[in-house]
Amino acid sequence: MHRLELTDLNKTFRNKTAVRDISVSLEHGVYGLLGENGAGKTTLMRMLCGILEPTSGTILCDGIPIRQLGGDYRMLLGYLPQDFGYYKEFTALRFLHYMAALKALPEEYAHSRIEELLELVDLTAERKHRLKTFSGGMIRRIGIAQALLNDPEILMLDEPTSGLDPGERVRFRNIISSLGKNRLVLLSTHIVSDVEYIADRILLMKDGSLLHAGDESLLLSKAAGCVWKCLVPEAQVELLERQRLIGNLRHHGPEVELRIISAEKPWPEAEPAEVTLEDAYLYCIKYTGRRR
Amino acid sequence: MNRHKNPNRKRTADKKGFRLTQSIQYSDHALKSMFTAADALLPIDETRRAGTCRLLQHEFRSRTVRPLQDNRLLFVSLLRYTDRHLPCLHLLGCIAMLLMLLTMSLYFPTPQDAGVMVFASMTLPCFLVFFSVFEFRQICFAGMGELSKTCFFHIRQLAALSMIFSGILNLIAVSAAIILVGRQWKIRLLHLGLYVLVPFLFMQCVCFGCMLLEKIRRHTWLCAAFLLPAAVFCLAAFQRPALYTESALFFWAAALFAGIVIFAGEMKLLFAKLDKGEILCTDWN
Amino acid sequence: MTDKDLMQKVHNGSQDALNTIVSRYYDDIYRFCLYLTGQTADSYDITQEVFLRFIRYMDSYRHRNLKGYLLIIARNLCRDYFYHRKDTACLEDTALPGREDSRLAQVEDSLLLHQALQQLSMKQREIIIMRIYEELPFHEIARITGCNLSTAKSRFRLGVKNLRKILEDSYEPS
Repeated sequence: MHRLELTDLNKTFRNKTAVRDISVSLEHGVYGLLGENGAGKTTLMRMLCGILEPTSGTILCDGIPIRQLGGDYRMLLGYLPQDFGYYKEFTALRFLHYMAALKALPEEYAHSRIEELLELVDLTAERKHRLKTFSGGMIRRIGIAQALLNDPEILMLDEPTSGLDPGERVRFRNIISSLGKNRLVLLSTHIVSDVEYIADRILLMKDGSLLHAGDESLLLSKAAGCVWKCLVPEAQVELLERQRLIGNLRHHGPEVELRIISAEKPWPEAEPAEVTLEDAYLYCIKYTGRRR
Repeated sequence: MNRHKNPNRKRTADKKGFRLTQSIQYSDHALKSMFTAADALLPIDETRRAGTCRLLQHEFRSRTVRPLQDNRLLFVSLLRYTDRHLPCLHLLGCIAMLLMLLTMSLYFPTPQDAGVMVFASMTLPCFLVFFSVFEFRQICFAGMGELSKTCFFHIRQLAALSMIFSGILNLIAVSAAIILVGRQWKIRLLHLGLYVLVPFLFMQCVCFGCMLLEKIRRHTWLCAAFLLPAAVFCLAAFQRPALYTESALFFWAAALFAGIVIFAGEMKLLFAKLDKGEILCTDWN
Repeated sequence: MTDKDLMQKVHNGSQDALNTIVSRYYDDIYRFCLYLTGQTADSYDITQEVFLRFIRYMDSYRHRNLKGYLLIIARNLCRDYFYHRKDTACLEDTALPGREDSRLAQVEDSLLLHQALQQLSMKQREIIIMRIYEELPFHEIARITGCNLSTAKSRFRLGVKNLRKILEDSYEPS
């Protein structure tokens, strides 16, 4: 089991700060990295994978800077980028063999591992099909397979569920849950339900800063007492939407049931509601951290 | 600062007359001797060592260690699965270039045609540079770059491998062209080598210079917009007869040397950018 | 047997080869840690951790120089140790066995060396130990410490100058 320690991590692209002053320690377990698009999740992951060099700050793996570990660190690593390129003429099998060669895996080991993984991501039947014929979801699944090739102890998945259909999502969640026991898994997403059931810890990013790092209950407690449920006439919805943060809305005849995130009671008949991870996420994104 | 100025310390210093206050007394050798002497006074606790051994044995038994693959075999499997389209195309390009020179030699066989053939052998290899650039671009921009930077064989090694391969291929092709033209038209190989290599290196520098510039390297048409004028300039500049006299050889040698220095500098910069991830990821989110 | 052969055997599951590696490098790594930290008990702990990490990274080990690799881990663990301790290390009484025999001068020298080393900054100390004690070439030191060659050289020059000054000052008549 490995420990990643990030200290005062910053990344600036010309005049844009994508990641600012992030200090956090990651150990084994599944970490859900939540944040809106553009919050700096991908940049952070790229730095953790050694793809991008931080402008300042350090990333240590078991006390050793990852730059210094070099190939040793990369041997521990499995990474699924948000958009990854591939040679379109390659078959799924050749792509995985190529990746196994890049990961310096012995041929025999690679053979058996590839068969295992194709089974895991349900692509055994398509193993000899060219990648250019694959759908977005299939490409995502082959991406997950390549990330798992070296049985990585540190697994980074950037938006792993994008392009997957609901069935595939469930399957993917099960895979990740089983993986997270003995290794460090960091998965970034802007979809709260992706991490709701599988993440042991939640990292919340906004405008490059880390707003929260801890378990789910801690995040939920931040929004405690700030989630309300109420039925309001349809005409009032627009006004409330302008004034308050609406988590959810559902039509009930002439009235609309609203889920409102607000520090004070937003509507005379509003009742406190149980906080979900999505509410807490919205609360933190809206009411905490740096303003643009 | 904790200084030792007690009488004992002074007495010791006096007793050992060779270690007085001059700085020369503490040469690296003397410091090493102090370490060696200190080592002798640091016995290793055998129970701790045995404890560590036991713990390691236990840890070792509980792990499944993957067998270590021979580096040569790893390299072979990398070559086996890698994409070979562009390298094959490059090879075909080299063969086509040599065939063109051969065909031209049939049409311009007389000693009076030597000028035409020298010019052809200077121009045609320049096109081979494009293959090197395409190969480099494929490794960095075909999308696999980000992924391969997280693997054991990472993009730096892949890019270096591709550059070495295309460099060797180009050099073989250029050498063949030099020998072919030099032998048939009785031109000294050293002279012809300089005439051929200078424009070749010039184009190489322009191409990889384009790769260094963020805005240009991402767009093929912008690359072309820079390369075509460079090629025209190259052709025009090398058409002056004065350049081919004995006395101009110094100029050619100097140009070759400058080209090599510039090219090496560009490579260093390009690889530094690759290391920082600047070439792979310019977006942020 | 070379380190490479030993590593090959370890990868094939040989526990004897692992024992040989430990017995070959345990003392060196322990002393390296002791000179860096000045703490006997902690140095044993760090040395143990160095070998545990080494096993953990076994799958990814592809270095040519095994000792250099162990020193990288040791050096970083020592830095980690100081980072978490925050205070400056001072030499424990137990670091040196107080021998009441004829080697008093040697003991004093040794004590002086330990104390002088602890007065240097961590960066200068580690580079002096690597260069003078371990006799590593500068390019190897640069690789281990993650700096460039010229930085390693100038840091060494500065460190040796400081060490000499501290040692000389210790002998100044009061």
